[in-house]
Amino acid sequence: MERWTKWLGLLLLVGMILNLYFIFIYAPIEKTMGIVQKIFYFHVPSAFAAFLAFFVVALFSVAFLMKRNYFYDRISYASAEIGVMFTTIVLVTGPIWAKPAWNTWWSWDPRLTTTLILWFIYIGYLVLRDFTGEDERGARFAAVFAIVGFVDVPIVYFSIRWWRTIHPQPVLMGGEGSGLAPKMLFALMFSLAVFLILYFYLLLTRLRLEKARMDVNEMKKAIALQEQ
Amino acid sequence: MNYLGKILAIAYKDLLHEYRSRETITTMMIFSFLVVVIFNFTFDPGSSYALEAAPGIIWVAFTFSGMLGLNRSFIYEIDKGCFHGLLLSPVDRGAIYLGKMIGNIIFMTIVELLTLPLFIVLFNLQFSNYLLQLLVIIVLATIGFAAVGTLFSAIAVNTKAREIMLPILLFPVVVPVILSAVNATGSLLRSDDWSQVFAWIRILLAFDVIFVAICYATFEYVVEE
Amino acid sequence: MENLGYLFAGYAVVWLLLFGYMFSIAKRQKQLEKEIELLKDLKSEN
Repeated sequence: MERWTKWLGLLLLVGMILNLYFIFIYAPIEKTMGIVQKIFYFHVPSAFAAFLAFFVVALFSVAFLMKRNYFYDRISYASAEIGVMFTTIVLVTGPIWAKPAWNTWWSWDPRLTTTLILWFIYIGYLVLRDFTGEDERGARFAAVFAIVGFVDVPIVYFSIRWWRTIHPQPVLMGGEGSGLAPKMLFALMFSLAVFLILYFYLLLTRLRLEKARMDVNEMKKAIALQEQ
Repeated sequence: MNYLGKILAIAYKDLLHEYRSRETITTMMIFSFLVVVIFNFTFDPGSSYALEAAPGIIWVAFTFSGMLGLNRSFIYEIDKGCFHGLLLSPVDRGAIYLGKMIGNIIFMTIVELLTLPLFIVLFNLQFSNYLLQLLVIIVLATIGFAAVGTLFSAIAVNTKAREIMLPILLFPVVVPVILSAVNATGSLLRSDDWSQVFAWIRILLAFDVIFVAICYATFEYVVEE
Repeated sequence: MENLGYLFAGYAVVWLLLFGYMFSIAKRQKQLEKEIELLKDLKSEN
């Protein structure tokens, strides 16, 4: 795993440098929004990585409850933390981009609002883990909460979308992908790939931490037994 | 005893306990009344804002008082050592969940029905034509809230922070319920077209069905020991 | 080009969060490794 992480890190470094080149030099500047539109190339991939992370959390939570393999539980925990980090990026870059582009920091648009609720759900997940400790009960609780939270996401999205269509508002986010120039599309796709690598790199690093933590617990137990 | 009988027996146990001690419902009700009264201070009496904010205020009162009730739901079981007895009794975990959930739904509905008249009086609302529709919304939203709330309450009671944990877990997940309930109530107040109210009721129904099923299925993992 | 400030702020936040997170992982890892060394010493003493 160590070697994997190293190679992935190297790939990430090269990818990220190329990514910045594609974003700032290769892709043309958007006509109406100007240069701030460049935030888009980090905003969207971050959202993508966050959803992937939360999907992994739900998947391994189910797997943990079925198989009771603690490695699955550790994957869920690590992925939730990374997902919250990516969601935070989305929620901060969103308003910074929206302000100059549409002259408003925040709009209660379904995607943005769902992302905010998602952030709250997984912050709750992390707080829950913090308050239950590392025993098997904490793992079970977290897994159950993750499953309920994940099923909730589409319902949150649809209810907010319905709410916004009843109260009409100027369309702010309309046609994001529709008018994308080929060069911009390429830069976006490349950035998506780089963020995918970034996610897996962070996951591996974070899992290494979990392994160390498990080792410490094992050793403590062994020493406690010795002293008895 | 058949399965339904077992579920009802557990709900009846909670109701009997509450009837004798009267701690939970009294607290919930006072709290709910307080919320409605305090929010009245934010407007000039009789201003049109009051009418627009009314649905939001009533659901804040309902959800926060409901939270109090849900928190008590497992705390008294654990503190008095009843929960182990309940787990040892010859019923499966799903029946315990449904029984506790029905108990919570009844507590919340009682408090809501008693708060409603005060609310109608203070905000000078005309609900008489829509009382039945309003009741449907209240019951559906309460089911959704209690379905998730009962499961999370069983989780929260076993953590270090207990009372603080439940709202942090519950509120983000029940956003669709609160959103639908507030907007459906608002639609009724504005006497909007019935189809608009019905669209919200559909979301509430979907939430209820999905989450009663999921929470019923996952409850056994929460109370494994 | 008048919006350069926003662009800068946006990317600054991303890098700050990203490196902040990686730094926090590294810090926790170091602490655990120190603990492991300590426990190893303790074990060999016994």
